[in-house]
Amino acid sequence: MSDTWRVGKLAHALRDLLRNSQFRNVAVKGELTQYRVAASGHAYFSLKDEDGKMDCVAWRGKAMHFPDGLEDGMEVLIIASVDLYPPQGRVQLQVEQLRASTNIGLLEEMKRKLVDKLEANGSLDLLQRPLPTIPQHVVIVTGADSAALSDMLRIRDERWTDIRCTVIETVVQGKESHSLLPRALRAAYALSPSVVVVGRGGGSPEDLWSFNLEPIIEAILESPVPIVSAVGHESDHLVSDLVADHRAATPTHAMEMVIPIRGDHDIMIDDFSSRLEGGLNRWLSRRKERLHNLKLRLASAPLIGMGKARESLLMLNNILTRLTTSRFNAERQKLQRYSTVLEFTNPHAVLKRGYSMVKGEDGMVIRTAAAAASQSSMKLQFHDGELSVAPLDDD
Amino acid sequence: MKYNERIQRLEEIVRMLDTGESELEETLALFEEGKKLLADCSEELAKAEGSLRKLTVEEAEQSNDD
Repeated sequence: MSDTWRVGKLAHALRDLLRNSQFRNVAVKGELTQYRVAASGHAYFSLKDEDGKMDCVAWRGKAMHFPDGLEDGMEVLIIASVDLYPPQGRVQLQVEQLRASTNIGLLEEMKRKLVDKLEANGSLDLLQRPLPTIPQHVVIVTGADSAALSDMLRIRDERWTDIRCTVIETVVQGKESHSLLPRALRAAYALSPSVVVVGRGGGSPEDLWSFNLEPIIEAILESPVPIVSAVGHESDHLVSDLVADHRAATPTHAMEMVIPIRGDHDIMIDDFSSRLEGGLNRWLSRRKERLHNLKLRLASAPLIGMGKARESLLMLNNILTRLTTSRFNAERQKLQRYSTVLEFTNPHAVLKRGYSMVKGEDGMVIRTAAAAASQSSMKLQFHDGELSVAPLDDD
Repeated sequence: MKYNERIQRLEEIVRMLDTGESELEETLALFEEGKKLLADCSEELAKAEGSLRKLTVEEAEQSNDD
């Protein structure tokens, strides 16, 4: 009995031994039992199988990354180190990471049930509301200070720097998100958005799982305006994608769908503006051309043309009186010039200068003496009236 | 009228002006309508401009400025 250990010393010595042993950061598999999270945030549980059982502890910083929906009876895989707690002499596993080896299967089952329920109550048949062409207020619900958020804001910057945008920063994974995400969504709806984008960047299936959960899905279904689900990567398919009006492959893509490129619209408006002006100008040019043609016809057939010339002069006058706005002053002056030209070629003006015109019995103009010789009576057209005449007999 | 409907109507107007079939009265009316639609589009673009705000869930819940 040369060496007698004091019990505490032995406990500490054993702890040192364990801490330097091969049982550091080992993967351990077993069934989860007595799982509980204390008020402090630390998680306590045991792992067991048919051959044994060990107590486990996960400090708050580790436990907060545990997947959702952990329940006793689940098969889990942990990364842990064996440790001994001298005050109690208890050997326990200090847990670094925990993955439910059957978790994904269980979650998938929950997801399938939710999808079945949504299918049954018609939530999946709701009509997709179109995105507004020019959204007056874009509201984004996503993870605080996340990479996804910076990506989304970069896209906003690129497409339309000044578009009105509100970001509600929330928690997008873990237990906290189960209540915070729906709250964030409902707060978004109260901000009179024209479109809502809800999403987050990529992650493990467990990280994205909140977007498969009923409270979040219900909140998405309540959206009074078109809502875009933008969760993870292209390959991730979540229930939120099914119930939202639109699914975006990534948060970046969602912003490309929602935010128009301001420059494109400016160009389009300028383009329409010049096409409108051009259209009107071409209309005026065509009318002027028509008047010009009338003038030419008038010169070659004065009498037949006269009626038409009057008509067109009258129309021209109507146009001129109606083109009163300053915008058309230039056009108006041009038309006025045409009007003067027409006045000059008006046969009436010629008659006033002392000329007269000879018309046959049929009212047609007689241009030659030979033509006049065959007429029994003719009319002389003066500017103020007509006079009937007959050719004298030469013989 | 929605933005897209305005753009559709503008397309129609420009086409009608280009065919030149309409009388003066109608032509001027189309031109004026087009100008008005463009002004409305510009106004809608201007109205969409605003600031970027970041809110926590609590702030968003208390925010009722809209």
